[in-house]
Amino acid sequence: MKITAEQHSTATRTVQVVKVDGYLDAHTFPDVEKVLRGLLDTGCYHIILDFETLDYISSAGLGLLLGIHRMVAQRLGALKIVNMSESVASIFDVLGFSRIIDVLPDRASALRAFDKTDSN
Amino acid sequence: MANESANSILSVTVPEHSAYLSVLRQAVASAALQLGFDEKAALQLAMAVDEAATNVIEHGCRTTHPARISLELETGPEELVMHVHDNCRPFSPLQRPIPSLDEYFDSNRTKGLGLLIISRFVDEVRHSYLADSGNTLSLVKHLP
Repeated sequence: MKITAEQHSTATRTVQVVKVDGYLDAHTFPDVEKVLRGLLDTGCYHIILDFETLDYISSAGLGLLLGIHRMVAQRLGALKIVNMSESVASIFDVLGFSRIIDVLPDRASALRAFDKTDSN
Repeated sequence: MANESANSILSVTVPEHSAYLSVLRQAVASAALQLGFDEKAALQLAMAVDEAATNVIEHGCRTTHPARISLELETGPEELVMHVHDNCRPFSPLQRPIPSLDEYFDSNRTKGLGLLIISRFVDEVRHSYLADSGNTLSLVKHLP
């Protein structure tokens, strides 16, 4: 699996965009967890996960997302997911994760959403 | 299917290691599509088997012999049965209560979703154990 992270600046803040390639299951989720926890340890609580090239997510990956979502929310940050494939989206929807974690069409809309939150 | 009397359609054995979960998922998804399930249903079945196999791996074998997970798919007149078999000590995930989605989200849990997923994506789950061969978790799904 390949994980890339890059920093983006909006009008009001810095957002980390993490792209996860491949699949997020019990075998691969520790690598993603390491990256995300690394961001939290450095005070980055505004995170976009780009799932454009993510083909599959299991309960291990979903549990990781839920945990990260809770942690950033406690620190007044947010986790947003973008570019989700139909297959991953179907899992998200059926299991109710779409109600809990923001899912947006693309990076641009997610970055705008961060600014919109700040202006409210 | 070509042979109506044969009901075992796939059998694969992998080491008890998470690196091989993708092998099991691909096998299930491919077979499910061949049986007429749509892509969404095939993915759900693959996920159910993934969760069952992950359960085996996480609870471990605690034995000295090489630990393996076997997947066998069988079809009956109206159903697909996916047997996830391990050669480990007796363990049934069905002994644990399955939370509802609301209970899962309202708690502080990030684990325990696997059983919920299995229960949602298949029609019936059965467990059996034989001393000379191990555990079998059978996931049953009605054919489309």
